[in-house]
Amino acid sequence: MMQLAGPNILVTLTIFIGIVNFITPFISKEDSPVRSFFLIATSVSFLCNVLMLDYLFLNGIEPSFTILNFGKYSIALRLESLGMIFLNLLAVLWICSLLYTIKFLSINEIKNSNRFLFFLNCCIMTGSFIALSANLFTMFIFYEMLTLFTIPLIAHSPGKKSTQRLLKYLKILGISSLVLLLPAIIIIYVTTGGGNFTPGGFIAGHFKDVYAITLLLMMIFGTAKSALFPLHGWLPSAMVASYPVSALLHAVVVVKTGLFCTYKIIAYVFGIAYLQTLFSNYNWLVLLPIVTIAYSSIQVLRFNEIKMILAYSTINQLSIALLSVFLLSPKGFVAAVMHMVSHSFSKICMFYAAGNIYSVKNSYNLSELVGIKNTMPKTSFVMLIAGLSLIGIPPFAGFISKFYILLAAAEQDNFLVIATLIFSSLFTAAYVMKMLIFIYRPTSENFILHLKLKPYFAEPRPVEITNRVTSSNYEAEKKLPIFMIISIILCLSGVVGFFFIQQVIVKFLGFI
Amino acid sequence: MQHLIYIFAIIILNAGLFIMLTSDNYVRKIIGLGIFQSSVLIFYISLGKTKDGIVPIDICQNALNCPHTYSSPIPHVLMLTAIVVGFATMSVGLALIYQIKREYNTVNASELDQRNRQ
Amino acid sequence: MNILAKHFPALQILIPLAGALLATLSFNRFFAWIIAIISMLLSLVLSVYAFQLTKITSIFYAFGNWSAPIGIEYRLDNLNQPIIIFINSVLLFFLVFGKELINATITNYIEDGKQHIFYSLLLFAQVGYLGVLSTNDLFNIYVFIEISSLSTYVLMSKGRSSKALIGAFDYLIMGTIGATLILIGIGFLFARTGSLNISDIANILSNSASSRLVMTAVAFFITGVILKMAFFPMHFWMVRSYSSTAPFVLTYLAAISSILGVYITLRFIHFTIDNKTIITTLSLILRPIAIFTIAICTFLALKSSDFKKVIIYSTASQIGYIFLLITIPEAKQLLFQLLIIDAVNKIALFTIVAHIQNKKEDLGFRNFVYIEKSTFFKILIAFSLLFSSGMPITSMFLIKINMFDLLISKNLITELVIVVLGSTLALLYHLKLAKAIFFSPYHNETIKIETKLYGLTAIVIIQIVSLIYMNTMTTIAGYTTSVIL
Repeated sequence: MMQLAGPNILVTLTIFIGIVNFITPFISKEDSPVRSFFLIATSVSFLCNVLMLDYLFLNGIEPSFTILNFGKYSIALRLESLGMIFLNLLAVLWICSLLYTIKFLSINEIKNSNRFLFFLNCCIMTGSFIALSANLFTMFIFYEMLTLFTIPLIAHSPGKKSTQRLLKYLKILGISSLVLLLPAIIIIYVTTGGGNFTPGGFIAGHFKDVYAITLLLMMIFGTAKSALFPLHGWLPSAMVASYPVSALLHAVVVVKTGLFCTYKIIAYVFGIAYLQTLFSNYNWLVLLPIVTIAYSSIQVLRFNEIKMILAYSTINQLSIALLSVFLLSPKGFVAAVMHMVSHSFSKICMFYAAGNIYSVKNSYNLSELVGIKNTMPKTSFVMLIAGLSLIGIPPFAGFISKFYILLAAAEQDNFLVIATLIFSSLFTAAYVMKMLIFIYRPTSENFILHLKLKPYFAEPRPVEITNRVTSSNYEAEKKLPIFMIISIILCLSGVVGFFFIQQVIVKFLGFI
Repeated sequence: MQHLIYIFAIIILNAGLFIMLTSDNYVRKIIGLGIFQSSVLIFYISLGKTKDGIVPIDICQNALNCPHTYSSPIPHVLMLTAIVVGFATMSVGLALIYQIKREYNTVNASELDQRNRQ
Repeated sequence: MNILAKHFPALQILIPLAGALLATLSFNRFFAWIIAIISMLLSLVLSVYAFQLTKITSIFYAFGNWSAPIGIEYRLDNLNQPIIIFINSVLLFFLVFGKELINATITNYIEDGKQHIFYSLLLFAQVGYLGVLSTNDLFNIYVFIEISSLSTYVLMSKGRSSKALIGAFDYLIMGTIGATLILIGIGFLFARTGSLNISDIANILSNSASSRLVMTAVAFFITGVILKMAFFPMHFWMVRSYSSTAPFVLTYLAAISSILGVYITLRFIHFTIDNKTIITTLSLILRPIAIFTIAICTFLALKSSDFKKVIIYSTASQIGYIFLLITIPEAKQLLFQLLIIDAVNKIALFTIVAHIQNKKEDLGFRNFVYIEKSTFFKILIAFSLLFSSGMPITSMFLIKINMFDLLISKNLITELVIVVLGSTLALLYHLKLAKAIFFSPYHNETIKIETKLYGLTAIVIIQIVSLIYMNTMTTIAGYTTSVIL
């Protein structure tokens, strides 16, 4: 059970530190420096531990151990390259999320922040467990628990419409995983006798081809968190939650879990080589994300609400990642993982910038973004960078990952994929430009002075002693808490410095 | 010809069942219950009858030289218990009917249904 | 100690019986409660002690030294002793933790001089159930079934709403029909074999060819059991009568009645008839009924308009799962795990309903009350709903996984599809329950839960503990697959 005692203790320690973060939100009822300190300190030490685990892993040690055993099924954890990448991503983004969320909750006067933070930490820890899972059963259990933990976050501020949306979210996710994913997992366990992840897959030869393809489809659609058409409906419904939650769901944990699970299933359960033989005639698997891309590109141009645009943009980007992994080649796989990470950073930048704008001025529609460039120049700049990265303009993160995908598709002479990628970038450019135009539209001073900001940011005009009229509206951005700004800067540096991050990713993936 | 008694028991069973399930009045249902249980009594006791057997009461002075054949006493004994059980069930049923009458002032199933639907 | 070891089968029944009689004579609600607790405690201790003895070998106890097949014989082996321990602990739990709820919802509505009789009726019902479990004599089973049923009819008629009286009367009619059908089945077996003792009948039948008489006996018996347990085609009366009784009584009844029905079926099929061909034909009949139950009852649970009805239909659908597992021989361990976990879940759910219905009678979904403040209560409800719906990582989830596993490895694809469908519908109606509790609009009536929550806390703790120790519990009880046959 417990070989290699040293590294196992390190893993246990890491998990323990993560669990300490379940208690820290309750240190004080409302926002206070003590609580913020403990929260951030715990997540920083979590990151340090993860970095130590990275060092161990890169030196060839792969600790693994079992927590609970139920006969054939067991809950077991194990370090391996794909999981390590995901774990690192989560650890870094945990710090950013905490920095941002603590202050967002306080300046938007959202009550019961300790409950909110508790479930936020639970979600991220569950994501870490998914990253560390060693077999299908463990992955499924934590996948379902993730759905459960996001419920209190979405339902935090109750209202009639939000209840309906929440139920739709739960129904789509719950039913798809129960009806499609779970039976497929159990069929695999029963036929092959086990479900441990092995590099190169372990079910080749156990099933007839038709059954294997059916199983693959069941598992792909069963992980509805990766938002393939037609099981994407939960994503727009979940947007009823507040900005930090949406950022968490759509950039950090939930959708990335969906992608991660699909990657694991393709590489570690079926095996890329086996899948290539299954689809040797014609790889129609890529048609699935293409349909989703087409659908979401059309939908995104319909909406004028910021949250809906961001939701469909996420669906779009997720399908691009799935497109890359469905190419069924090692290069495609690397490109897909790359895209997973780059999209996280870009999207979280965009969400946090939008959250900043929302905190300053109530903005639901695009038309309410007019004038932001003057009141909040730095935030608009962040939006600009994040938008350019989504489109795929060098030298930002989106370009690098999309370039990898193009290379992988070109290697296979798959013109359909290349064409889809180009079209999708064009559509992305369309909606990003739409958003940026509203932000950067030139306006009159009068307009800016009369912008209605939220009470925290709009102070009454000071009686001027000198004749210089300063408008507090121009200074609104300075009032944003420093935490939120640090968080955004961290994420932005991930977008800008992605070139270095991708080298690290390639190094990790060399271990498969 | 010997099976006539069983057919008789079945007829009584069906009669009792019919009364129980289709009556509107609760008291009639209890009567049906009694009839239903009587059929089981007939069935069991007829199981114990042997050819030329008399009622299983020991009237022989001399145990060795008995000219009588007795029917089996076991079903009679079992049915004594069953009669007691049936009696207890009927009392509980009648007590419930009494309470229902006190609460609702009627013991017709259809009227009770109507009153509870409001 | 020697007397205890020699006579414990009789003592197990006599101690609650003595308690029941003493409780009747106590004329005071509080003293009756104390007497009930003392007798149940003694009975529980005795049954745990007896468990060590029955683990080694089956114990046959002849009353009055009249040995079988002439006398009445009790048989305690590793099939029924753990069940005896379980129902003793259920009643003890019910008495200890439910005192406040019992007083608030039931005994306050009984006339003052007769409130103590409630406790003696509980003990009489317990005596009946214990007797059914311990005996090795067919007619004795019928007698004890009737004893427990009579007490149950009266228990169910108590409560705030007077609809309970009608429900109890319906239950009386249907229950008596079922018991009488069982009696007719016993009569046919007696006609064939001339004996009433289970082991003796098994002996005689295995040495002779199968006959139509035995088939008829089996048919009547199984029909009677199905009627009494409210298994699918005959479930309608149960829904009607359960939905009008006081929910806390259902905590005790719902948990026990399905276990009893399963025990009677198993004892009859495997120990009395013991003839392979009958068993396979029986499985062929029971399996489709089980599938229909699961599909239809979960669907009806989803369509219910009332909080309590959802849980009652859920109970009915669980009986479907149980019968499905009965027909699969390798599923013994899973069957008992399912029974126990399901009983615990139902206790939790009905206790929740009791707390809520204490304050407001109407539990329809259209205007469900808004529960204010009670955060701890809501946390407990969240746990109970999670455990009952089979979300990971609860014991119900593990049982479902094992069930899928079993069905797949036996290639029963239709059954698998229906079970998956049933689990999905279960998830949906649990969502409906959660929505009613956590998301009712403010403008509905608001209530505050004022009754103490010890019972609910204890049950949730038991649910969590059973998750960790589920496998060890069943191996201790000896329910590994080969032990019964």
